[in-house]
Amino acid sequence: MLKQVRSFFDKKKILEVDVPHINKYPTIDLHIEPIECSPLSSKKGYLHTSPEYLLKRLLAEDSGDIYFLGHVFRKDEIGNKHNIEFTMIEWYRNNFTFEKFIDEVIELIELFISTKNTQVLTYDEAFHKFIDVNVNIINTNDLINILIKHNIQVEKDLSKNDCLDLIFSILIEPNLQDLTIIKDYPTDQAALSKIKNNKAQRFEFFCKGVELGNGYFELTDPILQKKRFLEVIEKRKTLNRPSFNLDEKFINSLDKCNENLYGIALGFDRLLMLKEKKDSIKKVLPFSWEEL
Amino acid sequence: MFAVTNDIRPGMKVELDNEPYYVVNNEFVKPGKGQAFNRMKLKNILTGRVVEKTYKSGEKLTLADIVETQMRLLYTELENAIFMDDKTFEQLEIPFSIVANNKQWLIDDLIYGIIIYKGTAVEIMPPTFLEMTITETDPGLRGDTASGRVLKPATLQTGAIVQVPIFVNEGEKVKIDTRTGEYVSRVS
Repeated sequence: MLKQVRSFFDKKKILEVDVPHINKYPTIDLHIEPIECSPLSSKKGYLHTSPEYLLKRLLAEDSGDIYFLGHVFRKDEIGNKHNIEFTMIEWYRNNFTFEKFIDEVIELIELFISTKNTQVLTYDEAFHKFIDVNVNIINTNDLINILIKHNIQVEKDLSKNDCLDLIFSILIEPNLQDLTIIKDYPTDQAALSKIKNNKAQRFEFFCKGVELGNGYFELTDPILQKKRFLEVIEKRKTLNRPSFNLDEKFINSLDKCNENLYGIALGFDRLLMLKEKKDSIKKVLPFSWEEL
Repeated sequence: MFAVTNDIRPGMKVELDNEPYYVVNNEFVKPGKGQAFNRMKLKNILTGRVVEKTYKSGEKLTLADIVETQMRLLYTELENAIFMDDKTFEQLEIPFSIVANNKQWLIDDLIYGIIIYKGTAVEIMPPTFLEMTITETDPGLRGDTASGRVLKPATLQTGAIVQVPIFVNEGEKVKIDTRTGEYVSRVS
């Protein structure tokens, strides 16, 4: 399947870029932990959790449309659908429309599975349809009660977003059996996407109850991106998580990126799980972390 | 002693609200960019009740101070059973209140699993299968057995009462599944 994916991009004349997996700066996420390493005796480095920052630096230098097919690393993520080290398919398209980009992602997914019906739901619609909840007005306490009512016994100190995450993963995701695109996320879940009409231009793909990937209408404003990173670092401090230094080269490069840029990252192993009808990522990996 | 939720495997024993639990299942739940959780199924070692608990990944749980040991039943008294550790010769007196349903499976000189929580015995595990003599049962009814396997009550040497096939007689030895209290077979 690695060969088929490369062939897919080759036919579309999207260039493969093999960027370093060890970076000087960590990827900055609230809930994703990079693995530290010691590339130099005097200096630490980080295994990338996504090739995004380096790919965008290449895009800023007029690389044209590019893709990455390689490993990414996320600390402590082990489960039926998670492995610390996994394979990511990530690519970027200049001057596409949302529809055209979504169609292309579906085309790639179809290398692995046939997708008969496709549905597009906004984040709000998904919560309304499956939980009968209006995400914009419901409060954290009510969300916690919904969780407890479904026998998800949580502690009462969860944040609103924590509750939404849990509800989405446990109560909504299993219902997304057909190929589903969830779009228009709440603005505080925007990450590296643009915000338009008070909704984050972020979208995710699901199929057979499995999250396959996350994409953005990419944010190309360095000032806004830096502000978001600093907010994430502050929030991380309140959760006693390590603080990180900013990758200024990456942030500055956003200025030179095309305003009209779509990107997506798909889990190759998850696609393989669906193709092979396996319920555990361990069954599609040559060696899962536990088997090493 | 603590363990982080990510490191907790099925079979480990944790303590919640001062009660010991077996970890039956630990599921890692994480949306791509969201908070990670561990969804656990836990079985109360004292009551057998199964509960669900969802924790943020990385939270610390207390490991239960549970020791499982094998001890030999020396004899029973009016209100207690006296066990001995074959290796250390230490003796342990366990009141029948703790033994509860398993009192009917106590046979002198056999080895039992003893579960000790915070230094006190909380459960006795009999061997899964026991061979015991029937001390009392009615003789098999001659006549119509066309309705298939017919059972009758029989009292065993320990006082336990089990259902056995009608063709089994007093004085015979039978094999019983202690988990269900059911007759398994005759023992020649």
